[in-house]
Amino acid sequence: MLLNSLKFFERTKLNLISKIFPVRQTETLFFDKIEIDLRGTQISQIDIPSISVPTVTTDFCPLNPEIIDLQTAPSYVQIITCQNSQCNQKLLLNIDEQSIGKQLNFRCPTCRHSFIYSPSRNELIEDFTEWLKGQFFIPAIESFLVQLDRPRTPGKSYRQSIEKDKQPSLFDEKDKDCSHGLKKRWCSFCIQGEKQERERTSNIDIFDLIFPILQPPLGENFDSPIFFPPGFQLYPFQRSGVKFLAENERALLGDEMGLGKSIQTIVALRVLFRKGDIINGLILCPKSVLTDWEKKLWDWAPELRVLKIRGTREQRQISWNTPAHLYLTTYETLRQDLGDLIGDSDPGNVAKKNFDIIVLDEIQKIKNPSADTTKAVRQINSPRRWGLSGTPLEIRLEELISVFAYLKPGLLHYNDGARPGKVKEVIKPYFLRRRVDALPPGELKEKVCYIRWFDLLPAQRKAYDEAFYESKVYLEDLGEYRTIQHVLAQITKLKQICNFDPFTKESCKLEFLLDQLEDVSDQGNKALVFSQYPEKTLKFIEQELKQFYPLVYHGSLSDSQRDDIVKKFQNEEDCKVLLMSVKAGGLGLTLHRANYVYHFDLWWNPAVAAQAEGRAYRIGQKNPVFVYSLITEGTIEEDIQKMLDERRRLFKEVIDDLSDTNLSKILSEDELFSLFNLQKGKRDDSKSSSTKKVSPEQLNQISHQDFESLISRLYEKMGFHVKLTQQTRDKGVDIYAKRVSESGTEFLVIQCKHYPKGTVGVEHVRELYGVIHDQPRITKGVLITSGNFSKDCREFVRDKRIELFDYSYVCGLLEKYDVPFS
Amino acid sequence: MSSNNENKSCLLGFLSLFKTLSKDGHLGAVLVTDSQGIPQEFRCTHPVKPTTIQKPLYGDMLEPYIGVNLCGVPLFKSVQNIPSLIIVDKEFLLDVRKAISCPVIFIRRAGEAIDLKSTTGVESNFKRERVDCATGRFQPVVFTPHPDFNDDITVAREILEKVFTYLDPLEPFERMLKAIELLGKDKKFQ
Repeated sequence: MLLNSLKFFERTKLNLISKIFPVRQTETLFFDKIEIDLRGTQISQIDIPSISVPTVTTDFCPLNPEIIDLQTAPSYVQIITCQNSQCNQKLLLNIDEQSIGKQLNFRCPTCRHSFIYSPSRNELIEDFTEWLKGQFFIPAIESFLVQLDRPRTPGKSYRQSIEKDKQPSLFDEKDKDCSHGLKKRWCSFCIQGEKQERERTSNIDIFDLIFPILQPPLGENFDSPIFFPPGFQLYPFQRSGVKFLAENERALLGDEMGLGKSIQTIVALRVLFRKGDIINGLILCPKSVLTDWEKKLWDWAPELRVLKIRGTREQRQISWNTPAHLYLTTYETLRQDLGDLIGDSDPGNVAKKNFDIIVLDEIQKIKNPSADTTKAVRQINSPRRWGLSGTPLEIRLEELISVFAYLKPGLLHYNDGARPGKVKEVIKPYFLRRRVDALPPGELKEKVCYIRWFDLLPAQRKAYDEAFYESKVYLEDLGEYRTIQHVLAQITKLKQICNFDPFTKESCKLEFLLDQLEDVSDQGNKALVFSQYPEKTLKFIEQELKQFYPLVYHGSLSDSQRDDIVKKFQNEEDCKVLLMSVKAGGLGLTLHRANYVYHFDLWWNPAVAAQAEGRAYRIGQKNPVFVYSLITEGTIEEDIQKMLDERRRLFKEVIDDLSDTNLSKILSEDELFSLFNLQKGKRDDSKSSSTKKVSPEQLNQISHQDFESLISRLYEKMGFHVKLTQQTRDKGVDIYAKRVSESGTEFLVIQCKHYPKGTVGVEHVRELYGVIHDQPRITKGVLITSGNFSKDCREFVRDKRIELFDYSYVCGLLEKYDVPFS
Repeated sequence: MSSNNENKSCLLGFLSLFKTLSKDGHLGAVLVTDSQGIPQEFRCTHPVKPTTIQKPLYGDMLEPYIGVNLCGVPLFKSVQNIPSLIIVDKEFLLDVRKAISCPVIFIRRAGEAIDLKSTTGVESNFKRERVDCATGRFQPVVFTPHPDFNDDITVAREILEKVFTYLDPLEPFERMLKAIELLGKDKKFQ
């Protein structure tokens, strides 16, 4: 195709040229040979000199090795030792065939010692490896590890930690007997062990810290069904509070008391931990609510490992350096542990200072910029800072500025104190406050119940532990004759110490109540405080709450006095608190001026507690009622509460709420005994229940020995620890009986006279008097007979520490205490 | 009640291979959850850091070898809670099935573009099954069993259909990634 194109082109060109320069008639020209012959060329000769042969010298071939000495491989080698005894150097000899058998002169290259050696054929070595090593450079072979090492596989099984979320059952594993011979869920050793296990911090590892991140996502609006444990749900306004906190690195939550600031904070913390936004945090709170925070964290964020910083300085130092999600402590502890940094005499500085988040409960604690606590808190470096306060606007503007100086440095200046409008505007994005009365209808339940947990104060703890030990010994000594009445008496004694220590008057509950009532009073509200012990507790509280003008309502008041108190409380603004005994004030009264109710001691019957709360929560009440039950941790109150919680949970799910009013009916005998790690007496109750009315005839039929035994059992039933003396040489005493009660220790000396239908004369009572009259530690002597006492006898005991029980009185007691004859 | 208990006892295992924060190593991790996604056990390996010589010598087999032989199989041999189904997010990890008796499936979001780097390129030959979320809460997923164990499809489908109403089977891998990032702050896992 190309050729065709060229031809076409040529043809076109030719045509074109022929048009422009038309060729005339072609002419044929002829050339002769000469004209076409080429002329001959001339050749010029050039002389080119020949190239000389180069001289090859060694200088011009540097690459060729210069062979200095040609070594030939030896026929044999031999290793000999230098004959200089101080040298003993090993020498390698190269030996040829001719040298064998000849005497050769050698010189050691090390010590220069000359010696003669004659090699023999037998000693020669034909292996030249060593020789070759000396002659050649053997390149090193690089080796690379191609095999990859198998890594270790650390990790953790979390399964044990969620066992607690198992579906409740009436016949769960906790109903099995533990190693202490009790039901697992009643045994305080086991409960304590579980608690210690929970608190054990030494084994917190990295896999515990990542546990929250491994949790399922929260779901929009925290509506994931697996996010909260059963029974723990947020109110709508609390959800928005959580959102506010989670979205603001610097925030002040100023919700009114009772709206659950701490719960919102815990949930917000949980959100951040799950998202992986924070790894650790510090919560500072007043001492009175430290234990309560711990409990709430356990309830609302069980996957977080919380460390309560307490104890001696060394213990605290260990705690600060132990990994955890959250460190929980008081402002005072932090001040101590950062002591030297703020010029305190206490050499502190053991606290950690860097956290991903810090939460300041009752942030008004740092309102004074020159206070040591404020200085200590300001040492803490944290990108996220949240403050909580129920009364943020009640503090002065300068103090609010001080609070924000830590929460959001630079936001406010101290000269802003004169411009409240500007302060309000500036803090608006960082501040959230909801008032109870401003919440939309239905946002909050009409009655909100909280349980507040406390640690006993040191003196209180000491008194409690001593009393508990005494009670336990006492109940143990009762042996198989201990009864529910005995246990209940001891519980009462211990509960009163949980309210306050009778000697030092220390009371963790009162500290909390004082803080609360300040807020209640500031908000213009009023409170009811209930206790079961008007004499032992309410009178004590009354003294301590004088600033709130407390009124006391108890059973010994006349009707008119009661009416006056109710009117005064309802109408006079100054009277902020009404102290009530549950029995006297539990029914009928209308006290809706109060919307805060405090159960100062554990009232374990929900029905009775609800009746008491009903004084405030009734028609006419315009605000939600907040009910607080104050419970001390690590005491009999906690043990009972746990049992009741468990029982309520099961009954609520399976049958209905508890409605019984009698503790001994709500909790079984086994459960009540287990509070002291005891089992109930092994006596056969079926026999006792069939006991018929005791008659003098029955008494007549038993022996003297049996009579003494019967009386000893009677006293055991009455709550005494008894000891029978030997039958002969009893020094006028048959039974010693001892009982520890609220009024002190009773120590009785009992003499038994089994005189069926007979009369006991004065000589016997004189004998008893002889035993007790010079022993003041004996509370009284008791002379008991199956017969009667003479007139002289009765005359003699008048005004003396002696009681006389005749057959009719004894029969009555035996019947009352249901004492079997055998 | 019985079905709830059944669900509770059904454990899921999630296996993945991650790069270290410094990108010079790999570490495997397994998360065992109950059917609701609540973590029961988490294990991960210390990082495997191939040298510059090892990388070219292993070539394309480097990640599968680390993921299966060095991480996956030892991880499943060390877990205390044996899962009923193992879900992997990289196709090459399916090979752990050869060493363990539990069904293993590779799972991905339906309609999602396939990352050719993480597949062997023969996925089209594998059997694939699509599972839809009954409540529509999550996007459908496609799963693939190991080609030598096609019977695993039945078991896997049964389990996935049960849990898919409240658990997105791809979501736990996000948690694992966050956990690995946090672990990376510990020297042992760097």
